[in-house]
Amino acid sequence: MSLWVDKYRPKSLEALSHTKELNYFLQSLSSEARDLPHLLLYGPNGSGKKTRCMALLQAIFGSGVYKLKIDVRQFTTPSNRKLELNVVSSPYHLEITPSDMGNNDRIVIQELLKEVAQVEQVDFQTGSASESGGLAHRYKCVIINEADSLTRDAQAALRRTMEKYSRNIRLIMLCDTMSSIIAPIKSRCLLVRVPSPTNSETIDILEKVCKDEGVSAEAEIFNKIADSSNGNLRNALLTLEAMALNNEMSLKSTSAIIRPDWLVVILKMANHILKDKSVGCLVECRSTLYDLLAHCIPAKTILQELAFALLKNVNDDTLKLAIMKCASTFDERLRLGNKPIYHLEGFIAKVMCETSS
Amino acid sequence: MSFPPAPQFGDSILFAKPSVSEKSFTTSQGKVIKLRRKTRRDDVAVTWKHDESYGIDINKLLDLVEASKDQKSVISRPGSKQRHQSILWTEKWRPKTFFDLVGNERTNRRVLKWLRQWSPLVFGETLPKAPSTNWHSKNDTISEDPLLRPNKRILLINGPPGIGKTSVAHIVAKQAGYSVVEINASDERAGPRVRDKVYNALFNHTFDNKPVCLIADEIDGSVENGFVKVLIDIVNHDYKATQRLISEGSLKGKRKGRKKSFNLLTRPIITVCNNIYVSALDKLKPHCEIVTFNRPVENALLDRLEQVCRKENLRLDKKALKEITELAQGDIRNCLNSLQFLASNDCSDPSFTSDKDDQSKDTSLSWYRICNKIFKRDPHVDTRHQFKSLLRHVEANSNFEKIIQGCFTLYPDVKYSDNGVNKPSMLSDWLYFNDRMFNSLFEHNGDLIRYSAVVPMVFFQHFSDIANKEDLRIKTNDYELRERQKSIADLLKLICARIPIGARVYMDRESLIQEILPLLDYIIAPDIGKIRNIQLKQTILNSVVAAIEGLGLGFGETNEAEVANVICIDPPFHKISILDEKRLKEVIIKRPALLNLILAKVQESKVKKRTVSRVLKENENASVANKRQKTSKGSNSNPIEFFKSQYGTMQKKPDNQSVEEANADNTSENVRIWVQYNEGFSNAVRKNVTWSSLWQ
Repeated sequence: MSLWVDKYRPKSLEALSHTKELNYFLQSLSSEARDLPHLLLYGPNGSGKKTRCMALLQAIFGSGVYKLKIDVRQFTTPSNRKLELNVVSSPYHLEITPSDMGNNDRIVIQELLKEVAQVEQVDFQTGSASESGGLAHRYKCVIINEADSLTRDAQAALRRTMEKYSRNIRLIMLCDTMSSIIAPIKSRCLLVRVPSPTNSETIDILEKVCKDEGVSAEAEIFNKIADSSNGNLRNALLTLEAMALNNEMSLKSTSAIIRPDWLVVILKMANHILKDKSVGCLVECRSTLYDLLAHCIPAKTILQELAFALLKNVNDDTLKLAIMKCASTFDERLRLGNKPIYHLEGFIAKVMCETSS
Repeated sequence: MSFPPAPQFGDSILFAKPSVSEKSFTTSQGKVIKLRRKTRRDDVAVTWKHDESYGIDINKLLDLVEASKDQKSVISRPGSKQRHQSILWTEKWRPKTFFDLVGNERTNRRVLKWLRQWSPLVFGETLPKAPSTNWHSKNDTISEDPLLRPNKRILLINGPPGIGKTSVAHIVAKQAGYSVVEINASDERAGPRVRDKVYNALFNHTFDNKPVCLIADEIDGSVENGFVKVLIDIVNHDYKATQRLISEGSLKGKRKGRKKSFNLLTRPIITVCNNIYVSALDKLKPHCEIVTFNRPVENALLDRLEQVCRKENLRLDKKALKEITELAQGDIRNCLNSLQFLASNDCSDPSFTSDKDDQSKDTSLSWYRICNKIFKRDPHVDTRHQFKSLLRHVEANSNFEKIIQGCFTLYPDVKYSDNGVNKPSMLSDWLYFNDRMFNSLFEHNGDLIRYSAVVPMVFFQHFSDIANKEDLRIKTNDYELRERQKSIADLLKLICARIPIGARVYMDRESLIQEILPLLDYIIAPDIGKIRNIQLKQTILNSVVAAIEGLGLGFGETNEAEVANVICIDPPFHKISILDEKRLKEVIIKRPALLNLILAKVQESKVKKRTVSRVLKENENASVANKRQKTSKGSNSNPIEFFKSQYGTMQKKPDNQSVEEANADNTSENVRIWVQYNEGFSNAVRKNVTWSSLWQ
């Protein structure tokens, strides 16, 4: 009973669908469970990092990893503030998400990891232990979600722990990009790139889901969905479900693709910008931008989607170059500054200037 | 024939003692009307407390005011000769009585009314009933306080500085007959020390037999919220004591109530602050009657200043006075100070007014005034000069962030010459510069932030125009944006917490906001009105229900918008996912019908699940019971039954083997049988049970 995304989520390594080579690789990792290295899985959003990670754990520890529970842990900062953090854990692993703890992730990393690392696991699965020499499950896995948002301090705190306690603890870090991971961590991990599925792979998956759910669909619509989802499988499946339910379970090649509202708004804005290059338009854009920001859409995403939408609507190559240049400039400004509205509006104004001349 | 007017409520006739001179006359209908002569009241010096009531005659009040004015002018005239004295005028002309207060009449009266509500308790008076019945009856139902105190025990006066909040509090307290105890920011206000002081003031008796009114001044000033905490403690204690009083008062009378009366708050507390939104006051606010003071109307202020000028023999024309009030922005204290300054300098000449810009403005120009100034180019002043003075203002204000934010908000609305959007695009570079400079606050101790003062000048250079008005309103989007972001983030957290954990590990914040919730919005609201095929409808509904349950969403009712009590999804995630206004309306208008269907489906599936689980459980129980029966060899689990059966077997044995009958009897005599009695409960005991009781 859940969304199709969750319903058709593979639970074991064998069931993983796309990027077969990677699956074989992970299977070979799991067969030598006692030698599991620290892992750093990286890849775009919706490519199945977490799914693979859980499947890998399942292959090593058995289906007990899906018996999840939440503990509330308390930490004390040096300034004597109490922090509360929800830690998701199973008997074999635990998960932390740095964005939950804000600036204090260093303390959490230090305390939590040390605590886990200093406790040796007692292996109750005697059957499997005898096969692999009784040492296979001595360690506990710690999954760090969104590892790219770990602060530098926290990453530094991680370094030594990873080596010192590697007997008892294995880290699996998941991140979208590796650029903000410091080099010492990278060198301690086995880097695994999880690519997003190709269009044909996405289409295969969509077809399978459709068959199981009894949705009749024309082949072309899959192509469209795969295109619009940009290799994001989660997005593709959600779109499929939304469209199927809204079109009486039968998709025609002409059915409109359902996009999230915020994306629709951005596309509209892009059209508007290219048509009407005036201050009045700028004011309207500003209110739209405020609306988007208020809905917690990250400024970076807004800029990115807006730039792509603009590129789609422009035919001239020199103009495309100019837009790209603007976008990259303002992306940097967004990163360095902390007033997104200034820079987003600045980007729009610059683009208006560039395209009108 | 004209009828004599019927005596009005509040007319002094009601209060006059029956005098000798009474007349009666008969109307045409033969009705006799008695008339009494009005007694004249000459005593002007009657204290306020005496005759203040809701039914007071307004004319008499005005007379009183006039009279008191006259009196005062008589007193103050001799003093006005000597101009150079050591008292500050702000102290000298501080209002002494209720009638001296300038402006804010309504709020002043609110303060007085609140304080009057204490009178029944403190002075043992009874308040006159208010004439307007519906208002009073409403109030009556709320206040069930046994001591007839006002509902909110603390009065919180707030407003900008210098408009007489402290004065009002003092005067009203005095007027109502209290002696004032003031605790202000100059006193030690940390924790236990202030507690003693407050308790002394509130619960002990004073020497002069007057009840005490505690005035806590400037409570927002203290960073440590120890003082506020003390106040909250008092209110909470009082609340508990009152509850006890009510419950016991109805049961046992007053005997016990007296013992606890130490906790009861029996004296009024007035608190004064400038900023009511300080976080320290958050917890206090719900216990307070909040009275907000606004700046007095300019005319009232002008009258007052003129009065002072007259009394002080200071000749200033109306224009100058007006300028002073404008400068002070309604701050009476400030006005009086500048008046005194003028008086001491004896420079009541117009040169003051032309120069005012340099004299007093430095700090008093607020950021929005500066923003307006930036966009207004003065045609009479040299641009360079204007630039200079503006720069000085901006630097003096030093609230660059606000100024720039204001300019940014304003510039699309103002008139300026430009072709296309060149200027805004150029501006973006400067805004980036500002952003970087502002960041230095976190990196280089803010050394670079002063360079931000340049950015408003860019606005001035490019966007200022003669045609612009000077009173543009600035909407502060920034604050609103932050608030909305916060509320959405909170909502997201709530939703996140309700998602079942198996699904939650696969979702992060970003994907929830950007993909799952927006698309979920379409998933749960398919357009099924047109579908004829019932089976298809059911499968779609099933999928929707699955989606809703998979994310742990529930159903609730909205109470926003025009239509109340419309069904909606419980954490209202459409607030996150929907940006289009048209679709937002649909949520309220169209969706409820669909949701009702879904709700029915959800409940159906729940019932189904429950029955299935019950059946499963029953099966399980049955199998367990079966097993147990097998293991216990057909005997029941009940201990008594067990013993019975045991006894039965024992009895049977002798039947079979009659030889050992006697022996068996003997052993059964010797064996003591222990029976567990109430095991597992707190009153579990081990006791000997007589044999016969086993058959009871």
